[in-house]
Amino acid sequence: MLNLQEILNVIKDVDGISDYRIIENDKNSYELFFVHGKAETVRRADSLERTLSVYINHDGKRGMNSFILSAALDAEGLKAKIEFAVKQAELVFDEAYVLPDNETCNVELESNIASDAPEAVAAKIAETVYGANPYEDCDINALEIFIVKEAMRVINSRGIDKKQVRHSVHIEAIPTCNGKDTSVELFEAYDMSELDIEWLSAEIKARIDDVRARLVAKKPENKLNCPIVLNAYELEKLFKAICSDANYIRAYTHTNLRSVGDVLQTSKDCDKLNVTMRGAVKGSATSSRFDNDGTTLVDREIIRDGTVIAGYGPHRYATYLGKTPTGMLECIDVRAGVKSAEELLSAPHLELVFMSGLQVDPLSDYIGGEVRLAYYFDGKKRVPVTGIAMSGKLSDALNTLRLSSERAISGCYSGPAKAVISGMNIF
Amino acid sequence: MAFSKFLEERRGDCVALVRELKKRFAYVSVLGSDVKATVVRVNKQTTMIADAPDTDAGFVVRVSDGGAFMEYSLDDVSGDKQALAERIVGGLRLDPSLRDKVVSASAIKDEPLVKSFARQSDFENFDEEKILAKCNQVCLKLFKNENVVNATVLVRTLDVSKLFISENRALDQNYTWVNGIMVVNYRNEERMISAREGVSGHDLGYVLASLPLYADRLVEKAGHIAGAKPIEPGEYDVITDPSITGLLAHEAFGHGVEMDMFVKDRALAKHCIGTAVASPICNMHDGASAALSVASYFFDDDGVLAQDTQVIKDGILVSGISDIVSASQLGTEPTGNGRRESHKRKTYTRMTNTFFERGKDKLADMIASIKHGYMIFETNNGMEDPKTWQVQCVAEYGREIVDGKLTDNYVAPVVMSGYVPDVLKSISMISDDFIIEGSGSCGKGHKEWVRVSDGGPALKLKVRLG
Repeated sequence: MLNLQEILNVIKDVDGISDYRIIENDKNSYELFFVHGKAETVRRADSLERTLSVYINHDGKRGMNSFILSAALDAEGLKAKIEFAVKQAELVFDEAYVLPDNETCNVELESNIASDAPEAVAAKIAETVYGANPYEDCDINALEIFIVKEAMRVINSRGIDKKQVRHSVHIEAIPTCNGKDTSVELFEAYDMSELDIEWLSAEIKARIDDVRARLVAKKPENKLNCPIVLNAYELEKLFKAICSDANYIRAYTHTNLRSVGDVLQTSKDCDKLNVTMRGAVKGSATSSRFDNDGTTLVDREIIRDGTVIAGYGPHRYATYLGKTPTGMLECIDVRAGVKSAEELLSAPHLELVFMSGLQVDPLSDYIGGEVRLAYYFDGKKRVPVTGIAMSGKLSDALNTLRLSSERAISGCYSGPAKAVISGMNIF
Repeated sequence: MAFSKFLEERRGDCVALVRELKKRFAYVSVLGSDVKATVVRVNKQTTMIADAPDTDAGFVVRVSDGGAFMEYSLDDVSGDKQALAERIVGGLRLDPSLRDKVVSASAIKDEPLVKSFARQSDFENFDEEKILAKCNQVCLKLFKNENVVNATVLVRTLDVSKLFISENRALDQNYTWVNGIMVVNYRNEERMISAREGVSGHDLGYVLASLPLYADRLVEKAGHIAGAKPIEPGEYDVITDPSITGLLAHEAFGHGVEMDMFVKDRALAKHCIGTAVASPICNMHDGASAALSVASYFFDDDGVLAQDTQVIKDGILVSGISDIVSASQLGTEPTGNGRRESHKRKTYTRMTNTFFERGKDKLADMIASIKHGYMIFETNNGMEDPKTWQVQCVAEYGREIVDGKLTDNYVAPVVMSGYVPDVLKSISMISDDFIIEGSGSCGKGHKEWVRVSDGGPALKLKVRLG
């Protein structure tokens, strides 16, 4: 495989290139797959992937072509690929734009697993997950553990040379409860850059309690009509759908639903949304210092008091719109509410625990999905329920939104641990 | 297209590496992948010609001694084989605390077979300039409607080469697939929606010629969806179009018969082989050789030849599908369903082309038989729970049926959910037509995406919509 300097030498040898960008991803993953507490598969994956983009200025426009460099490419083969890419780029007549320029960095993002042997970290996780189960009728039927180290580097022809090393853990666990005649399970997935063994143990224990509840959960005898409580996992999906609308790419392609100044929450009787898109959130595996263009990620407040106040997005589309680029921000930070979860949950409600998948479609103003486990609280007692679905208008959900003061992280989301929405149809 | 030059050049390296590792392990195999995926995409403002995310080149080495299976994914297998074998063995360390906690499995069968497979393709007749010209032509056609605020037309090509080498097997395959997709963003006075149409096939010429034929239909459909109302939740007589039929096959039963789920005791179907799970008029298949579509390979990522597995026969569950690791733990024969997202990922039991067989009814008769209900169209997404057989299928839109007639009362989106045997046993009519759509992707959990197809005829059933 050619090294980076050899690749750069070949690029310089090809005529007609206005700019270039190389994204290098050097990834090492150690993986364990368990079935009923026994290791079924041990895996390691080492890959060095480089994507080369060539840019051509022509006729007042800009063309670009990208391709992935395979291990088989020698200098001669690479030159031929680049020359072909130049011809492909000449077919593209996009509005002119410039690449980010003249910045360098070399960082390792904070992680408490950075210096540990991956097989030891994986074994510790397995021990913690299986050790969290106190019940004989419960099991973790399947467990997958991925310990990943990823070194990313972006270089371009305008002086960008940025490198970051990230460490992350991905865990997928299937808590299961076996009854006399039936068996039920939950699906749990966690992505994190920091490993908190105590938190993981408590989390798995809580999910095992949930799966035991699922075993006895019943379809409610009467139609429920009460507010619905969303947890961090659902809130991540909800806010991803809302925030993607503010991306500059959507604005440039006229596919955004809302613009700056549009009010998301018209009701006075709700907690107003305050959302900031961030490059990094402590503990989130999606944290990054720069994006694929090498643009330094700059946090951007996009929703204030329920009103869209700004967009965010990559360098190219920011340039098109005459905006300041923020880079491709991936982390969503939602300001917490003032009431505690205990206060919010003191009135009758349905708390979602496990859905087949929350569907959120801002275009259709829709939110809904099948509920596989929830807790219904009638004001006195809390009982597990199943076999129901919920649906309603996303706008109604936002106009009745109440946010907890406690915070949680789920994937790219950092914000209130719980939220309450009303006006949904439960059937 | 032709089999990958890169893999052909590494064939000897794979053989030598297997020989080196056989000194230490009972079973050794190497899978080489070279997948060339490209995308040509245009919309109102931008054009893209690039390698697509399916692009993949590298190797995965699998070794087994009857205990835990071990795999090492890497970019290349050239160079000193003894050193490479040391790197592989060293990299697959298991923490000492886990050494006694490994599964036991029967030895993987390594039956002798040397064979090359290829499917003819017309890719060489087209370059990106021709594809781009067609995309631009279709895009302009979509923009003729003033409500279309943006339109995207894209063509994705897939040229797959795989090489499988073990002590007794040497297999290689090359095949292609094309997806043409059109998406419009359509805005009326009330709202903006997006709608799509797709064409797929192994023939690029067919896909490029077909795309413009669907453009007018797409814009008309977008107009209807933009004016669609929410559905009143409830249980209805429903007719599924082939796309939703396929989604039902995939979600309702496909995932439930993936036999790695049997190993983990994650599927109720494990206990239901030989029992009635659907209406007696139902027959369902899965297999890479069961139909010609996006998942029609010749051998899977375990080196097992493609098959046509009948999953449901006359309403009775007759078989699951499996990869080689699951089969070796269950003591069954693998069915050619071992698939990886890429060479960097693990093999799981995965669906391929999954469908219901056609029936004997006319679609018009099926619609005429419904007093009040809905016909629902086009897959958005779906989720299953093989443990409890709960299923959720999301359709892009539905049309109300009143007094046996399909009306222009559109509803969107439509979520269909229920208990799988209840849903499948409620099937009362099956149309005599048949369509498989080769534009799907399927995840395992929420990752491990592979390309799949599904489809079948129209089904009449009773189910909850919301």
